[in-house]
Amino acid sequence: MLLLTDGLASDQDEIIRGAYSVLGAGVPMVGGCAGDGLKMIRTFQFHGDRVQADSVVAAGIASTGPLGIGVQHGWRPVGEPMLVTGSRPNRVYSLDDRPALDVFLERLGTEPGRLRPEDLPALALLHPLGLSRHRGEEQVRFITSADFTRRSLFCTAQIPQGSVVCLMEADTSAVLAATTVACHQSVAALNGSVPLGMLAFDCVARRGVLGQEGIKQEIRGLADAASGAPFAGFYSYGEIARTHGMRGLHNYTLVILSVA
Amino acid sequence: MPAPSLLPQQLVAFLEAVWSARTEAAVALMAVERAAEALDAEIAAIVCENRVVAAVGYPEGAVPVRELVLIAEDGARHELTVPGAGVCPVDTVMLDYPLVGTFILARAGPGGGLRHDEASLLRGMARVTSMAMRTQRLLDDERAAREESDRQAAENARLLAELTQRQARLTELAGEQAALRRVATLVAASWGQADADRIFAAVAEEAGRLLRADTGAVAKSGPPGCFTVLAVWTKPGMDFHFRVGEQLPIEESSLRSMIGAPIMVGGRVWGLVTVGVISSRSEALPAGSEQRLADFTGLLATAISNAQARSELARLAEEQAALRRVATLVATGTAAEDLFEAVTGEMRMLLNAGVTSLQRYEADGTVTVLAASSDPDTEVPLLSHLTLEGRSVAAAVLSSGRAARIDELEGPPGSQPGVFRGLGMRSSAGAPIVVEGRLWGVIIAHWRDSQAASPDTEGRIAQFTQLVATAISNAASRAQLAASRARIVVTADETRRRIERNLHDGIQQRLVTLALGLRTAQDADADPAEHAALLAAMSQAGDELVSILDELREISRGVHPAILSQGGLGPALRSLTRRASVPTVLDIDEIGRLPQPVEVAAYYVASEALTNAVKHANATVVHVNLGVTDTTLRLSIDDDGDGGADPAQGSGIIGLIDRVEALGGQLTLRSPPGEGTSLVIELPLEPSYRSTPAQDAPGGRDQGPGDLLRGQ
Repeated sequence: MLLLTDGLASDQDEIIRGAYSVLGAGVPMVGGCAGDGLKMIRTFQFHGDRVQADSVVAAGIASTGPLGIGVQHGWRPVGEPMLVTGSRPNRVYSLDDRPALDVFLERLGTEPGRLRPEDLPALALLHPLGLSRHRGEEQVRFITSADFTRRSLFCTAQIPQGSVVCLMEADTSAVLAATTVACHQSVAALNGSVPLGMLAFDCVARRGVLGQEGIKQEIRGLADAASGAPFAGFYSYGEIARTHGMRGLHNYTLVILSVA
Repeated sequence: MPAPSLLPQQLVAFLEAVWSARTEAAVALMAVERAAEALDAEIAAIVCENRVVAAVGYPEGAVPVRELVLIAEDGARHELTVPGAGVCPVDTVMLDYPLVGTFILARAGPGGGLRHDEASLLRGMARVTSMAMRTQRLLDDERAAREESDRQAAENARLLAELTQRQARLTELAGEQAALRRVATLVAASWGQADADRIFAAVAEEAGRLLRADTGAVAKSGPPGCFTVLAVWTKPGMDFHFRVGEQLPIEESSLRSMIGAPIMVGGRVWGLVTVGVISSRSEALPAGSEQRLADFTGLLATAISNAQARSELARLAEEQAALRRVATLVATGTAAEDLFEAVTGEMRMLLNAGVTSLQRYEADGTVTVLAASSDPDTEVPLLSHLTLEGRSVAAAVLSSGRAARIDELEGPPGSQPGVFRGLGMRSSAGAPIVVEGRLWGVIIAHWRDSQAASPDTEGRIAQFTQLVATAISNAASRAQLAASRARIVVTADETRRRIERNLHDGIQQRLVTLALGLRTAQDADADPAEHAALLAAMSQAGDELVSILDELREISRGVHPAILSQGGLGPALRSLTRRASVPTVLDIDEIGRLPQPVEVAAYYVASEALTNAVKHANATVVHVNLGVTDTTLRLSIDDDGDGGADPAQGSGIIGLIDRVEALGGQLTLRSPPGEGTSLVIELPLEPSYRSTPAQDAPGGRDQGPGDLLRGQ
């Protein structure tokens, strides 16, 4: 199931839950949350010949050939894991029973009183939170901003209370390596078939991490993996990839769908 | 991070989510979703007995209920095949609520079942789910109970309102029915003018009270542009200026609101009922009042029309009985005075009139009251001539020949209307008595009130005048018959006397003289000289005898010619015309013998006409034509004489008419002065007409003509 959602919708997880309750465990989901180039005003979804906003466009893909999904972000946890002791959807109040913003800044070695609120997004862009999972690697959670009065953090995806999170960091080479891994995962899932095409849902934040040069390298990596097959994609405000369990929303991630 | 602190935090998050659900079913669904999410599981479900309360991880509508129920029942099974995820290890937790409920979780992957801490978390989640579902169930029940209670309260309120409304409508209906009954009783009880006033008053009051108005009224429309108030009811304590009899312009009203409805009876507007509230009152008549008033007047109209129909039926029966009594009198030939008295009496009762009278038009332009009926205190002058000055029905009928009514009699003393006005009568209506196409008289009903006659009065009077006319016509026929018979007797007597006189004065004297002459001749001497004188005397006696024979023949010819009885009409007419002293042309069909009365009558008509032509008309030529068909004899005698013959001037024509009419025939005389005379008779040849008048005489009742039947 291919899902294209409005990236500014407040609770993307609820969309995944709804889709899962209808589809069940047997149908994988891929897709991305539409962005508007970080203007954060309005995004659009195409459906047929109509342009819509605040909507979800879903496309079921039925094929006798294999479909391969690759999911990778290349971020690694740093420091001790923290317990989310207070959260609401899209908002983290406390980590280890202390104000989330203070814990976050302390881990980064920044004195809480000295950071100007407008400088936080740039800092947070490079230091997302990683949500531990039972299986596989952590799901990265993007911190968009913070409430300096209530000392809480805003996220684009849910960080449930009781979950264990780590501060994450990455460098260009790790992120590019993730691209390669994602491509390989995706193609490998085709069981030896040559891909006929690839769709890429790439986090807009990875662009910030990679820079112009890194993006070019990433696209070259995609082209190599596609082996001459066409590939396309967009920079998203959240990536959707669910192959096991219920959770399928990612940040800072590259999701590749290969079709054969 | 110490492991024990993880569990409560995840439970708190789970509890928050689950507690946000608003129904028991939503709690279950939220629980399976959040548990699967928290424990990274493919499948989570709550199963209770043989049904799945909630499940996640299966395509919608494809939950394998049986498989899940089996897992819940059989604690030994630890695997579940999940589409897209293969065979997954299963963990189950019994639920406190719902009873016999099981929380099932299946997670794919190499790790197999839940770790110890995860299993502990699942048990905690199961406890929380049970608590939340139970609480929600209680809340659900309470909510349902509250909703049911609210619904019942609303239903009760609605029923109560409906009952109240129905009760109010019933009360209204009962009021309407009672009002109608009161009015209908009044209507049925009586039908005079005084009763009508009481009915109007009752209707005005009932309508006003029924609609809770300040005033109710019954009015009739007219004069043009106005209505006239017949009855008014005003709420006690209200001062209101409408008065009975008042005429109000239609647009005039000092009422705040006013509605009216016509009372339609027999397709005509019988009256109008209006109710209104006065301007000082704040609220107008309530909506729907028009319909209620219309309903009321509709029912009222039915009641009135029923009562009217009953009274009309009674009236008709009464009228028919009266007509039958009069008709019986007419049929039995009752004397005119008695008949007229009976007619006026019956009519006065039927029409509820003060005086009814039967009057005859006289040639001098006056009327004579021949009969009248009145109450004992009122004496109508009979048999005096009254003039037709002023406004009267008698004058109107005379000028138009049709029935008429006068609503306000007026005329000088001694005039017809003056006399009846003097008796206290104000209005009258009457219909003509027409006898054989001629206006003979009039029957008039008079009332003390103005405009008292109902619309069909003239028609009802006319039924009586027709009977009276028939009676008069019958009586006149009988009188004519008697007169004719009397004339025939007189004529026969006269003829006898004439013959006797002629014999006595003429032939008898001459025969005596002749006898004396012959005796003188017998006594004479046989003197030859006197022989010549004797011969002369004998010769003279012979001449005298011839002359006497002629005279005898002349006399007998007026009685019955022998040739008629021997040869029939044809030879008799030929003999008659041959002997006529004026040139006569006879044109006659070949006819055989006809019934004797016909032959005799035709012969005498021809004879009399010829005699008249010679004696009185100085004619120079006469044409006689006789034709006979199977049924009729037609004889015409035309001369070119002076004309101007008049039956009344004592010619023999009256006698001829009697003879002809006695045979059922007809005599037509045309005799304009200077243009000759034409006389035509037609006699029927049917046996029924061949009898003589004497044979036709009725056995018993033979009314004389009487003074009353004398016409103009």
